[in-house]
Amino acid sequence: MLMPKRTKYRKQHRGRRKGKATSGNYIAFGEYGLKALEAHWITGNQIEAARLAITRYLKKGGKLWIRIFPDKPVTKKPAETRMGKGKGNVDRWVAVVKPGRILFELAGVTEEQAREAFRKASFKLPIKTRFVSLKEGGM
Amino acid sequence: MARVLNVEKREEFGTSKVKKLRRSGYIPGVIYGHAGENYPVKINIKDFEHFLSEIHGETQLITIKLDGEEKQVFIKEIQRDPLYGKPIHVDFQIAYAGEKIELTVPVILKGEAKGEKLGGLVEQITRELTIYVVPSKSIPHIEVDITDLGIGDSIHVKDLGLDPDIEILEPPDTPIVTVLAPKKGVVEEEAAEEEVGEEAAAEEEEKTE
Repeated sequence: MLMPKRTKYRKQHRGRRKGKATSGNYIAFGEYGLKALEAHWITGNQIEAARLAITRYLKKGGKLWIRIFPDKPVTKKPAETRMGKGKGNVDRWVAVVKPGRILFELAGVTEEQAREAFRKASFKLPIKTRFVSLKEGGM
Repeated sequence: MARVLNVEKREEFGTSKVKKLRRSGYIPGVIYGHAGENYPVKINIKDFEHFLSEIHGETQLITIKLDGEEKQVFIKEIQRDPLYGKPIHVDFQIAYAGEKIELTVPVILKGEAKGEKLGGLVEQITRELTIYVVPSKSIPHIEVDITDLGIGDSIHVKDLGLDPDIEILEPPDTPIVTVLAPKKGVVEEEAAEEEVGEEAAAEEEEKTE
């Protein structure tokens, strides 16, 4: 599962998810992309599940790029714990996704295959997504 | 042949006024050239989108009509909404005869690579190149013939063989396209890994019981 090898600090503040994606919002490597239409934290597990759905559908064909990386630690206090006694332990790693962000890219497959692969991947993600292609401007 | 796009002078400046302008069916833009020749303009969004579809995203010398005066310009940059892809701002740069200008030109692949027929995957690494050229020698796109490319072969900027008047600003070693070898057994490996993982998990469960 995707997570950083080492980090400068163990825990982070939650931050905010206002606005649209200002970077990573266009197709940079492949021919087809899956674009996020909502803001959300996407966990490493969800990214991995979507990746598996795509690779299983495409079998050996095509090349896949994952354009997001879960570099934000999210902490959680254990169950039945009283408040206080400091911040909880790191529970999962997430990628902060804003509307407009390209999540995955594909090349070397037909448009129908890419659409179907991304449709299957979108079921593994907690947000609404849209299929985009370089032919339509890549946005 | 240069195409004509009608634009109007813009009096609306600042975020809130420009947002209102966009709601009224226009997009803001700017025309720039030598000192003193800079004009904020607005363009009807429908006209502009129709115009863009006519030029197919290629870099072309176009004619702009501003207050009855025609100017030869290039579209230097189009800013787009990250969510819907609609243009939100346009930059035009005035083309002066005989004066070199930096232009971003799309790279188009032609033909089917030899390696592709053998199961390889054509990967286009560079989709746009920056050229430095006089307006009269500008090109709408750069065509790259890939029919001779076998598996593992690639074409670099230095292999393009363009007109000597066209200077490419990217380093000569920049790769444009390559043919990747076909992948083997990726899915099987993953499936095997999963099976191993499941078995290990089952064993652990048994131990805990």
